[in-house]
Amino acid sequence: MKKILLASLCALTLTACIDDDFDLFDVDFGQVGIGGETSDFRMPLANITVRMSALTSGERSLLDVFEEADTWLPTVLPDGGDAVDLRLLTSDADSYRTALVRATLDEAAADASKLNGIAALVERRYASAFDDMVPAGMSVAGFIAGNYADAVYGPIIRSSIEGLADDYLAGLSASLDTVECEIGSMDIDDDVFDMLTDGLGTPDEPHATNSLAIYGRVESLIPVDCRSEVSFVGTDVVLALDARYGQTTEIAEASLFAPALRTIFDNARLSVPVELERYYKGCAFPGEGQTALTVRLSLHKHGGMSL
Amino acid sequence: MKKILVSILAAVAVASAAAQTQAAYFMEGTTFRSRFNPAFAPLRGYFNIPGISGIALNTDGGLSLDAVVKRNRHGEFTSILSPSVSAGQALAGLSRGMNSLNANSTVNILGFGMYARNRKSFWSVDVNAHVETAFDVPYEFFDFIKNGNSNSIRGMQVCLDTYVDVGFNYSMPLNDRLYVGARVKFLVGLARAQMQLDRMDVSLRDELWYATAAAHMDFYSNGSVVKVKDDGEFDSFEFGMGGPAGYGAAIDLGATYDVLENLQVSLAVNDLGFISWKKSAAYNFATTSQTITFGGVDVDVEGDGAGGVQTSTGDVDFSLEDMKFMQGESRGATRMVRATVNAGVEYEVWRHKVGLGLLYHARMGGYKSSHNLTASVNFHPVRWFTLTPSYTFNNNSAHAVGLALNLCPNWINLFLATDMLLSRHGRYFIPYKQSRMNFTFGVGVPIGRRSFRIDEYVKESEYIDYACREARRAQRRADRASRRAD
Repeated sequence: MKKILLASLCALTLTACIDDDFDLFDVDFGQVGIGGETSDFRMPLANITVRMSALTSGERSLLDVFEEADTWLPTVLPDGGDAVDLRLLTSDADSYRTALVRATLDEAAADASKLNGIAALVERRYASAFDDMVPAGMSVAGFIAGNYADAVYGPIIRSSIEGLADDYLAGLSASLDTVECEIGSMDIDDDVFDMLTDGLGTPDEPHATNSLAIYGRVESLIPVDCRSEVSFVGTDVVLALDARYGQTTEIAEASLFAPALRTIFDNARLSVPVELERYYKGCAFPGEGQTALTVRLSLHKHGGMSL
Repeated sequence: MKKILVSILAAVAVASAAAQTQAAYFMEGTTFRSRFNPAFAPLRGYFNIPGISGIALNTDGGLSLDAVVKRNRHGEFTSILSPSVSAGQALAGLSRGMNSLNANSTVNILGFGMYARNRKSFWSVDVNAHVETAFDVPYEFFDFIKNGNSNSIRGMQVCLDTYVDVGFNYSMPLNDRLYVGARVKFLVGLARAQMQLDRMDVSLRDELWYATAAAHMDFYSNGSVVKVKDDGEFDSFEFGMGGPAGYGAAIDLGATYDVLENLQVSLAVNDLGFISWKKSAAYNFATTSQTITFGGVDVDVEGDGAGGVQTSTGDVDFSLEDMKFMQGESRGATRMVRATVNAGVEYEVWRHKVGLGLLYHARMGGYKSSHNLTASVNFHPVRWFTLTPSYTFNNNSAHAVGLALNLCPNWINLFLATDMLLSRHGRYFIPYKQSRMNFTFGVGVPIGRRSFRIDEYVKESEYIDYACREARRAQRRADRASRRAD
C-alpha cells in the first residue's frame, strides 16, 4: 500500500507540473524583427536644399520680385509692424492694400529718394503707362520726379502710380511659380523597404497598430513666410509645409503605404506650389546661388520591423 | 542576418543538455562515476551497452526556455525576437550583462572496465562522443532588437564543438586511505563552428542610421559543405560528418582520501587538454570592419536659368547586404577543452547505509565559468540500490532539485538521474523554467570481480572465496618455483 501511495505521489508531482500548451516543436522561430508593436523608429529620407535660383516668378527671380515690392511698399509700414501680410494684400477687402499704397505715395511726396526709386521703376517696367503724358525728349523718370508735386500733373501721376502699385501688390502672394523637381532613384536596399513596409496593411484596410508616415522639418532663410502643399507625384502623399523666416518648423506626418514608398524610393517627384504669406520688409534675401530653404524629410515607422 | 538569429534562438531552445548530473557523484554503483573523478570506481567491472550505456544531457548558464520563448498577444508561443512580443515582456527574463547558455551532450559509445586481482585497482576504457554548444549574447543586443536603442554590442558568440574521446582510466590505492586515479584521453575533433561578433555599434536615429560591425566565422569540418559565392562571400553551411578535423589530448586527475572511517574527501580536475583543428579542414570568414551610414539622400534644387529647376542628387548606397562575410586564408587553431573541477566530501552514517554529500563543481572556459554546489543524501540500504535526492545551487542565481537512481544487481547496471523533476514542463516533458538542466541515463552489464574498496559491501563469503583463490594461486607459484629449483 505504501509503495503504491509513494509511486502515485511521484507521478502526481511530475504530471502536475506539465503545461501542454508549451510545445517547443510548435514554436514559430521564423519571425525576427527589430522592435515590437509599440516601437517607434525614425529614419532619415532626404535632405533637400532649395537655392534662391529655384524660386522664380516667370523669368524673374524671387529677389527681383521683392525688390520691386520694396519700391511699391512704404519704407515704414503704416501699422508700425515689421512684416507685410501678403494674404491681406490679395484679399478682396482692399483697405489694407490701399493704406500701404497711399503711404507709399505720401512717402514719395516727402522723400526724393523714394520718388526717384518709383520713377526709375516705372521707366524700366511700366513706361508705356505714361506714353500719353510724357513730352518728347523727356524721360519718364524725369517727368515723374519733376511733376509729382505739380498741381496739374501730380494727381494724374499719383493716380497712375497708385494703379500700378495696387495691381502689383494684389498679385504678390501668388506670384511664385510651382517648383517641380525630380529626385530620381534612391538606391535603398529592398531589405530596408521590406522592413519599413512590413505589416502596414493597405489604405483601405490599414493595420491596427503598425503605421508608416513621412514627416520632416523646414528651415527658411528667406524673409518671406510661405506655405505649400507638397505632393509626391504619382502618390496620394501630401505634406503641409509652413516655412517661417529664420525658424525651423515641423512638417506634420502624412501616412504612407508600400506602393507610395516604392514610388518615392524609385523616382520621387515633388510638386511644390508656394503661397507667400508674410514679407519681412527690410530683411535681406540670400544671394542668387545661396540656400533659401532646407527641407529634411524622414520616415516614422510605428511597429516592428521584420528582418 | 535573419538566418543567424533564427539559428541561435532555435538551437538555444531545442538544445538539451548533456553532461554529468552532479547527483551521481556519490553513487557508488554507477559505471561512469570515474568521469567525475578518475580515482572513483564502480562496485564491479562492467561492459556498457553501446548507444544506451551513457547518455548525458545538460545545460547551464543563465537562460531558461521561457526566457527565449514567450506567449505573444495572440496567445501563440514565439521567440522573443518576434515583433509580436513586446520589449518589456522579452527583456524581463534576461540578464543585464551577458546572457549565456551552455548545452552539452555526451553519449558513451563503448565502455568496459575491470578490477585488478587485488579488487582495489580498477582500469577502464571508454569511447564517448561529445557535442558542446555555447551561446553568449549580451543584453545590449536584445535591447537593440526589441527597443531599437542605439547600442554598442561586444562579445557575442555562438560556438559548437563535436569530438570523440578515447580514454584509458586507472585508479589505484596508494595506502589504506588514499586512492589516486588518472584518465588519459585521445581526442578526435569532428567539427567545430564558431561565429563571433567582435563588435557592433548600431544607431537608428532620426538624422542618421549607422551600423558598424566586425565579426568572424570559423568552421572546421571535413564532412560539411560550405558554400561560397564567386566573390568569396559566405553563402551557406551544411553540417556533415566526415573524417577527423582535428586531434588533441586531455587528462583527468583525481584522488580520494578517507579522513576518518566514515568521512571521505575527494578532488578531481578533468579535461585538461586541447584540440588542434587542422588547417586543411578550416573555412575562415571575416567581415572587415564595415560601416553602413545613411543620413538621407542629399538633393540640391537650383534654377536652370530658363525659369525651371534642375536637381542633383547625391550618391546613396544603403544596403544591409554590405555586411558580408568574406572568405579568408585557411588557418588551423588550437582550442582548450573546457576543464572542470570537482571537490567533494561525504560522511557515511548508519553503517554505510546513508551518506551525506556535498560537491563543488566548476566548469572553466567560455565567457565565464560556472560554479555550483550540490548537497545530496545518498540512500544505499543494500549494495545494489542507491537513491539520491539532491539540491544544487548554481552560480548563486538558480537552483535545482535532482533525483538519481542506480540499480546494479548481478545482471544489470541501470542508472537514471535528472534535476528537472519539480520544474514546470512543457509538452514532451521539456522543462522550460530552469536555466540549468541535467539528464543522465545509462544501462550496462556487470562483469568480472567485485570491489573490495567498501568493507560494508563485501560479504564474508566473498572474502573467504578471494582468500582461497589467493592461497591456491600462491601455492601454484610456490610449486612452480620448487619445480624450477629442482
